[in-house]
Amino acid sequence: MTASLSLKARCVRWCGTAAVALTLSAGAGSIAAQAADDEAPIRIAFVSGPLYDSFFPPLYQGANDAADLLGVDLNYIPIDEHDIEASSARTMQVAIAQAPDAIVVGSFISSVVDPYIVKAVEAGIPVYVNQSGQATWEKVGAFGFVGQIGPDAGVVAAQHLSKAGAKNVLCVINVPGNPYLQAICQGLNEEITKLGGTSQNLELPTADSTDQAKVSRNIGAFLQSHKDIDSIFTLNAAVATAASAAVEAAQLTGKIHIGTLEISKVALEQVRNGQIEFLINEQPYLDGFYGVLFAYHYVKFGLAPVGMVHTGPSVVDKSNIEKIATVFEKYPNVVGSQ
Amino acid sequence: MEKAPVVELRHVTKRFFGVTAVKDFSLALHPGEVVCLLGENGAGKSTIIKVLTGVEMPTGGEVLVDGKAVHFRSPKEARELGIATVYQETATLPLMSVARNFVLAAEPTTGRGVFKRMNMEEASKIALMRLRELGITNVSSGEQLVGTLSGGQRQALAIARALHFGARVLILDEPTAALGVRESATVLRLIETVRVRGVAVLFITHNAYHAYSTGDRFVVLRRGESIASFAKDERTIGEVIELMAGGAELKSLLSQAESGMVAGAP
Amino acid sequence: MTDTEISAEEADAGPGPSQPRLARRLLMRPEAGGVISAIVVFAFFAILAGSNGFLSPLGVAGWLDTAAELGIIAIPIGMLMIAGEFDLSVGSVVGATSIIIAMVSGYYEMSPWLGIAIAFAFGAAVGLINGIIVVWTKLPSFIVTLATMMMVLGGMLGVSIALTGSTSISAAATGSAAVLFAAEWRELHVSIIYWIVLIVIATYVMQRTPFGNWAYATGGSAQTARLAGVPVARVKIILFVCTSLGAVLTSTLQTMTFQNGNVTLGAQYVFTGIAASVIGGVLLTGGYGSPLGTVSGALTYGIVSLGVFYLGWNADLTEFFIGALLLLAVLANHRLRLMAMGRE
Ligand SMILES: Nc1ncnc2c1ncn2[C@@H]1O[C@H](COP(=O)(O)OP(=O)(O)OP(=O)(O)O)[C@@H](O)[C@H]1O
Ligand SMILES: [Mg+2]
Repeated sequence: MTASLSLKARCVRWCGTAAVALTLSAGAGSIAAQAADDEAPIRIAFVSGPLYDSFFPPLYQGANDAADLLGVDLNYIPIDEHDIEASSARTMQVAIAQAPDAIVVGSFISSVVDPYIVKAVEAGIPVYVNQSGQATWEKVGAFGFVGQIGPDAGVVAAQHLSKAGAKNVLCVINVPGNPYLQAICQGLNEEITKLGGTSQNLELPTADSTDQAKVSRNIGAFLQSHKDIDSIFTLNAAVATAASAAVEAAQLTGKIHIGTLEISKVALEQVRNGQIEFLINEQPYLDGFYGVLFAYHYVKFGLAPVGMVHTGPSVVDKSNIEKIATVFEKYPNVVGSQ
Repeated sequence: MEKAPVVELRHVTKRFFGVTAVKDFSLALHPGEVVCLLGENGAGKSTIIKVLTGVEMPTGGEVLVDGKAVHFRSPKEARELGIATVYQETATLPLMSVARNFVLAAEPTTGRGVFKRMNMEEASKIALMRLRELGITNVSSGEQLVGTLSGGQRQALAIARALHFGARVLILDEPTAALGVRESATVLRLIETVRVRGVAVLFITHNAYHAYSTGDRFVVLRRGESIASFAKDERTIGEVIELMAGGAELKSLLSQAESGMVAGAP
Repeated sequence: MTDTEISAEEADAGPGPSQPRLARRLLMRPEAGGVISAIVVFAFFAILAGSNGFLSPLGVAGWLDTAAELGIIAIPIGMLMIAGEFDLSVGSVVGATSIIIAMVSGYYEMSPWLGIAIAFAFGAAVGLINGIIVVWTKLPSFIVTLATMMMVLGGMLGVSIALTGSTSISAAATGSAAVLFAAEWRELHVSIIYWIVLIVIATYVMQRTPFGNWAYATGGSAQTARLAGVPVARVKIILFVCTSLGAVLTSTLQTMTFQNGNVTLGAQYVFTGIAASVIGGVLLTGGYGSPLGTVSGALTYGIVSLGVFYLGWNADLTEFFIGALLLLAVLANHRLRLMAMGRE
């Protein structure tokens, strides 16, 4: 009895403190915003990927940087990738329930997200689609799209690999069942076929997705049994590093070309020393920054870029590595995750 | 004892892969009589229980119930003939209520079809009534968790349950082993109550005082064989201790004072 | 030795002969910790984020839907845990059956009902196999269901790629199946109704029927239950099947609603299902807990996992909050249980 009473007492005190702290910080925030601009700040809900996925920290950074510059009250709502369907729906429900001035959303599963875009627009909340959902954004009433069109990354990768002499490409899918990643490999397949080559996919088991050593061994084993592979395209930088380790272990360095989506410190170093041919940069920082900026302009002035704004695929290779590497060092979370 | 034995072992032998746990052992349990089975560790006491309750089949000899030879294939068959065991460790479930424990696997129900449900009032009523019959009057609610009962009360609950479901033979394997003085007294008193009600009791213990205070007859076991069998008035407690412990060796270890105590005991 | 002496001593040990007070009696129920935590987190978010949409119809629908979908899975998981066993394969059953439904209704363009029927048969089979292996081999269910989880997941990945070339397939929610499993009323999803029905049935079964008594006894001590005459094996197998069927129901609801089947759907339920049960007062070692507790646990999870977004704090702290809450709830439940046992 005493135990539960004191527990309750502690909770009341703690909850109280938290409440006071929050009210204070919220108050301070709004005062600062009002000092910068006499109107109430524009409220934007940004629904996108989780920060535990190394792709998203730059996007998050870009969104926050834009919000700071513009005095926007930003609420970033991350989707849980492990429960992507349900979580995509819930996060949109949350965004709409907050009745913000605008919603920016990464529509990764558009069959789930689209109905909510319609609902938001009906409720008078403008929606800007970000990064994914390029096929349907206009139909469901969003006012714009900024991002990279998935298959385009595959196409650009195919062109680069082909230029390096690739005939037989392995496309490594690190999240089995992810339609976005499957679409990129599909894009690669179509383009390399046009250019006179072939490609095949390797789906890594879910359980291995974060175990770089295991991924490396998996790729090594695949190379052992498929001697005709002359290049590898991976969809995240850690997998590319694992692939280059596998290539090295098989003593095929120089014989197998590697390209990847995403930028990391190690991957940049590997481009510099030639282990990786090129990195495809979707420039997620711009996805986040422009997402907030365009929503802000639209809410405030009713202005928006016409049609789609492409933030990728841009390519990092030996020709522009130094500039990118410098920025990477100087501004954390702008080019890629540290 | 004029009455016929409820259950009887005749020349029972039990071997496990070369180990002879019990050898040519005979025992009769009569209604209203407490038989104490004594013996050091590994003497074969638990094995005898297992044979009696259908957990193990005897290698030789036979088991008779009401004078008829039986071949138990499972503990359930023995239980159906009224032979119940109360193991101290596993007799009751501490996280369940007194009533739920009492009626477990024989729940009284009301209603029919999908609405056939447990009659909790009935369960509580029976449980408390049966406990009261055994002299346990301070359990007032059937909803009380068994974990909140004392060790003695828990034994009482298990025994009350066995009797309620028709036990005529009650086998208690070291029921006082983990109990304090007061709790042990509760259990000994229970055994007395049960005996008066005409149940045959087989009481296994390492404690000669506990045995002597409740037993009518004593059987001492050593390495699977019966080495002594006598009625209460035939031996003193000192002699019983000696027999149990293997004779002179232990006696020489007892201090003067202890020997005096043993000799002076009733 | 007299009666009075004993009762004097034992009176302090137990709640004693007088009826315990109502508050104390409520606190000693297994779901007390879960209900309290649900109320506390609700009050917390209602006060801090109530004006920010947490209490709006859409906001309420969000966390209720989440609690319902989790609750449908967690209630049978909790019952199985009460009976002393774990089922780690639930998540993979959700994924595998969502693929089955999507394949039948979307890829082969047959009636969704056929897909749902196959899904339920598949789920029942997985539960039956789990139960039979656990009962026969006496191996820990943790290991057995870990193995079946991997087999179900890997097997369905292979089947799905072989038949359709993909592991994420559009499902067609049409006709009566769509109405029954995807209907919404002001954002309140139909799963809430299934959830409530399930709460009533599960509470009735666990508290009022002999089967419930057997489940508690089986988890308390399988040996004691067996000696008392409880059909322990049957109890466990039935509960394994129920657990799998709960997973299939959630899978059907999600697949019909999102019109998409995915092998990886529902993977998180392994953790959240057990977390909801434990927050709700189910003892990890079995023998104690209640469906109402599990429901409170699911509600707590729903409120916290969505409430955090309304606070506008760094939302990636969600997992941290839930973890901290789990720890707090387990500690509180432990204290409450000691109290119930009269040790406090
Ligand atoms: N299943 C078995 N397999 C092999 N040997 C066994 C088995 N059960 C008992 N024994 C052996 O039979 C002998 C008698 O064991 P039992 O358990 O009957 O002794 P006990 O008198 O109950 O001892 P304690 O007082 O320690 O409980 C011992 O030597 C034991 O090792
Ligand atoms: Mg023994």
